[in-house]
Amino acid sequence: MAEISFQDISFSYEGSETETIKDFRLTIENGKILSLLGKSGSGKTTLLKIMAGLLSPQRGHLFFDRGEVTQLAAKKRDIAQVFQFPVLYESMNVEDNIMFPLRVKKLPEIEARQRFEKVCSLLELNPILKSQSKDLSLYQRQIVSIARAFIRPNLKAVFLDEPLTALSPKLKWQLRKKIKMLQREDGVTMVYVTHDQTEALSFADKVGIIDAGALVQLDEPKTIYERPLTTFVGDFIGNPGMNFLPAEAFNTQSDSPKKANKIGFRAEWAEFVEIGEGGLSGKVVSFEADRTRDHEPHGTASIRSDWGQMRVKGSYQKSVGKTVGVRLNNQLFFDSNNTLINEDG
Amino acid sequence: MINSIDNRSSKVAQTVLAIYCVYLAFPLYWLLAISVQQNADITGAFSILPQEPSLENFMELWTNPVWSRSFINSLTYVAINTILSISLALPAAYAFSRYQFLGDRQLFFWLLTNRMAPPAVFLLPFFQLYSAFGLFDTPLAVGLAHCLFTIPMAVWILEGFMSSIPKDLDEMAKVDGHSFGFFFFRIFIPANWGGIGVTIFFCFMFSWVELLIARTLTGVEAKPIVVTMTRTISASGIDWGVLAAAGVVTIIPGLILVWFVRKRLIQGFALGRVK
Amino acid sequence: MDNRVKDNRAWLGVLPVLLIVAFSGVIPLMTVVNYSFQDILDFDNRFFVGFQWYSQTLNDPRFITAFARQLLFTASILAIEIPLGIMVAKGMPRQGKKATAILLFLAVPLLIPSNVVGTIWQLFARPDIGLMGVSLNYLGWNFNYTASASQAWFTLLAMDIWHWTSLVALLSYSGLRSIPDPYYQAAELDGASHWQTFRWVELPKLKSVLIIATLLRLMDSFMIYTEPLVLTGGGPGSSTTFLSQHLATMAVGQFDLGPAAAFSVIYFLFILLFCWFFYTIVMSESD
Repeated sequence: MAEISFQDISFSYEGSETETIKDFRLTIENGKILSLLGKSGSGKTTLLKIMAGLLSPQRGHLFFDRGEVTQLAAKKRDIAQVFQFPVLYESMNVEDNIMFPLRVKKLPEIEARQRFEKVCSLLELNPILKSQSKDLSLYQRQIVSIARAFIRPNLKAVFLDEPLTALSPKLKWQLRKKIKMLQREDGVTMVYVTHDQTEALSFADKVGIIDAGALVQLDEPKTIYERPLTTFVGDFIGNPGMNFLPAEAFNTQSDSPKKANKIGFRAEWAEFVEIGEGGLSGKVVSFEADRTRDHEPHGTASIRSDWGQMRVKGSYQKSVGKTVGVRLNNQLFFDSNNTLINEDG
Repeated sequence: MINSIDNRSSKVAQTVLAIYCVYLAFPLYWLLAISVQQNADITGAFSILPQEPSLENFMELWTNPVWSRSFINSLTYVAINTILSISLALPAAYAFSRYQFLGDRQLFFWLLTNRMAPPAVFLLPFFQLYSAFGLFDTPLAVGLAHCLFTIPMAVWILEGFMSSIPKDLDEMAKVDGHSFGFFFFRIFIPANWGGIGVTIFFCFMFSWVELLIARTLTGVEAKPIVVTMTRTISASGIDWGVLAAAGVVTIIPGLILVWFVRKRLIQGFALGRVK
Repeated sequence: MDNRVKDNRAWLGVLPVLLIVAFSGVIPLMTVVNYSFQDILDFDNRFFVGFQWYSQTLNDPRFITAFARQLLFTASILAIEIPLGIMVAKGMPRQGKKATAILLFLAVPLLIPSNVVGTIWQLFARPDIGLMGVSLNYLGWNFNYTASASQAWFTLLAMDIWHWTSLVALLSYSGLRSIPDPYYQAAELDGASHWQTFRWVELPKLKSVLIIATLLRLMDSFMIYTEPLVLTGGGPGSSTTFLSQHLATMAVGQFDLGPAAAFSVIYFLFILLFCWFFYTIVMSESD
């Protein structure tokens, strides 16, 4: 278990002009789960490889607790990683696969056995212990590689690189639960890379949003959703993403800060009203119902207004093509750099 | 500063590779060095660098029709063999990789056993057989005889490649309404270029390199270059320079071939059997 | 080979191959088997002799020594070429121009006619004009492979390694390349040593290509004929006379057709037996 901190780390791949990671700073608290969330190509997997010691940064320093590990070999870092597609030693059976890291480290047999049994019972692996790797399903293979990661004692951290991508939603949910259980057992620091926001938001203590090799926001999942620091985060997180309209659309509202350039609001922060009542109005282009509440269809409407497109969640019973009024119950202000304006100061 | 941590090629292995390459290079260099010298210089004072290099030996090969004829003879039977092997092995490999039929496994194994037969075993019967058909001393005889060894290999290599290509490809072509002929020649064969490239390599590796059968089945007319070389040794004493020059010339077709299949070679050498 | 459709029309595809292999394989083989049971004085004058030639061959001390020599040779080159080929492959860069250049260079010896290989090594090893022969003598080793049996063997092994290790290396290299990066990274993070990574990550993936490489080298080295003939002529004495050369002398040189045929059949059966043996052992281990 360790706190991991990046100090101004930069990295570029051989032969590449642009830096994949630029002056990256981040501290991951000891014993917590951090999700790194970003689009593909944003550099999140590269960050993971730098932490694991599989890539070595050109500039900057990496610390585990107080000790610098920037140039330390991967095998000396006491960390484990689970890869996107399960990696097993094909010629070994399940038990030998899981025990392999302990045997390499020459852990005393009794202690090794104890850890082995604990991990196997948590992951319900006992029925397949003697199976050959090649006979396992994808899901089973990934569980085994997770077991091989968590079985190791005194781990500084465990890294997971989109380990659930290839699985069906139901299996994803099961495996996520198991990973969380294992993490709690030892309280090991965990970094979880994904491009699936539901996964990141429901799973982690903190979420780091990565874009173009830089950390855009690091916060608890709720804060990320409710107070995105930039319009990028607002748009990227949530389904649908946050609505942004130019500030002039709201010039009637007296409480908007002077430098406000855009106003952002989530689809559920707005409601339908009569035209003229809310200050905004537009034509409903489409409506997607997801359930019925009090005999009224409830869902998300796409609205085209004079100021641009927006999406609003609520009950809507008129037909598509009508013009409606929209009122905001909550909103955020962003300046001309697309950065959140803090209303408190 | 190290950019990526590479566990694959250790320092020891890299050193072994370097030493091995030097080991490969030395005899080749020496062949080249001798080929540009005259016999008197070769057998005279020893020198690592050729003292008076000249292309005279190569001119001798070029102007003497015995050499050029036998060079062409060799290329002819290698070409016959390669074309026959590939064109016959393609449908057979397709049958083995896509269909179950009566006796398929036994047949496949039996084919492979032919590759295991020592050519020396077949010398005399080959001689009688091809003489009986009036093919003795023709490139066709050698090309056909080599087929016994190259076809099993070709079928086996191509079968591996074709089996690694999903059957979805066949079904998709059917759904798209293509005829079998169109599918086989325009879709399936192009999908197997890697395998075909490496099969050519292996056919060439056998047919161009083989001496025993080639010598037995030819007399004067179709004499291959490898035989011309051995007879030169016994006839007029040993002209080391000409012999070396002939050696250099026989390496050239191989170089050209490797150059053409270079892109397929690596992918191809997995023989479709690595997963 | 399992989700194949059952259809006997597939025989049509196999038929041409079958015909040509039958023509150039089965007929000659039957001739050989036929001869092996006869005493042939000339082609109009022959007797059935049963297994006489077989028992004679199997009891012939020259056959037995040639056979033992052959086994020793095949075992030696396998023991050297397979590990060396793997090492060479492991030393190669994964990709790039340099990798291609090395690969092309490695492929060169494989495409040189076998008598030219013999010639190259003759030119290289001769104590009077050869770079190696002269150098070794200069260094104080009294080297003349035409006079010493052990030196002839040394030269022969050096030549076969030179000629064929590339095949093992190329096959291994393509096997290594098929291993995805995460397999190496996982082993690295698990703390595996170089040896453990090789044993548990690389070797299982190399298995199929190594079986192929071993089988090819096993058969081909068992049939070796031309290279020793050119290099040493089977000598000094008969210290480098292998089975094929022995057979060729019997059949073509002395025209002992019956014994040569019996020899051929035994020879062929032994190669089949070895390949089958090797294959079953390897296959049974994996299950």
